[in-house]
Amino acid sequence: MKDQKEEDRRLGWLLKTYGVQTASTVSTQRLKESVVAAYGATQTTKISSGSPCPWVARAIAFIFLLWMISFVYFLWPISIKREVAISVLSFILGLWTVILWLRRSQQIIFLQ
Amino acid sequence: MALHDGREQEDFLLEGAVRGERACLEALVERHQNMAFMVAMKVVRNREDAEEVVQDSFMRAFGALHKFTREARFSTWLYRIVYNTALTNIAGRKMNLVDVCEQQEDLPELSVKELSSDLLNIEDQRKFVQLALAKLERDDALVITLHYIGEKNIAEICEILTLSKSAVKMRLLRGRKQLQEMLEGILKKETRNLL
Repeated sequence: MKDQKEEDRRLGWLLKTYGVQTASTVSTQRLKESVVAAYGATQTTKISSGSPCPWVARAIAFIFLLWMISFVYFLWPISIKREVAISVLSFILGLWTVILWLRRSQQIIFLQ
Repeated sequence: MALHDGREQEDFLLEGAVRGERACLEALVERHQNMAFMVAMKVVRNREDAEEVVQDSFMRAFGALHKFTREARFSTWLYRIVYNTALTNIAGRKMNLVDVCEQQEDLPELSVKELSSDLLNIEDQRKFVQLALAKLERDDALVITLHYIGEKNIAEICEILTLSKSAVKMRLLRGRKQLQEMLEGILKKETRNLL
């Protein structure tokens, strides 16, 4: 029984020392990169969709939109001054760009 | 204690991976890639296909990580995915059986017993051990690899290969006996070195 255990131990040692097969470095690197790229990206979407942030963002956007519609409806600024309309549109575009930029930088942080 | 630490470390890495942390994802890949590769190699018996199987399996596993209940160890769950993907891979190859037979025929006859083991250098020993493993039946080689190299117990091997406990025990016994016979020369030399 003791001999059998000893032989078993020796076989285990031999297999661990000489029986290990390893994947090539290229495939290891490729695997790491694909896992990080695919899984990291998926997770980012998952986390942001499950967090309260989109609801807050939607509520703010909705209030902002209502305010804009009422502003345009009651004051009709385009008829008074073209600059007002341009500045409002620039503000919306600017805000949109900032939101997109923030979202992208958040994704990069998750990937690192 | 070591096992407990290992489990805690694995949990930590898994939590990080679920959050999409790069370091944790890379650490998990590094930890399990070689064993996953060996499992795939035992089934597909071809380096390129094995690497492809490992790639597919890791992508599947990490994609379904949120479904992983942690009832089993992550490695057990992952190797089961690798094994199933490898089986699908060979089922997809219609020429599979021919490939395997050809590869088996290519292997030179093992004659370690007849050789003077002192003449074998490390590289030769490595080659002979791997040839001996390749000479075993697929499931026997898988059981031996998972048990001795992957340090998996009988219950975990049953889960990975979907085999019964008695089947795993029988394959382990048979594989061990065949390997010991084939590697007798090297084993004797190693015993001398150890003493």
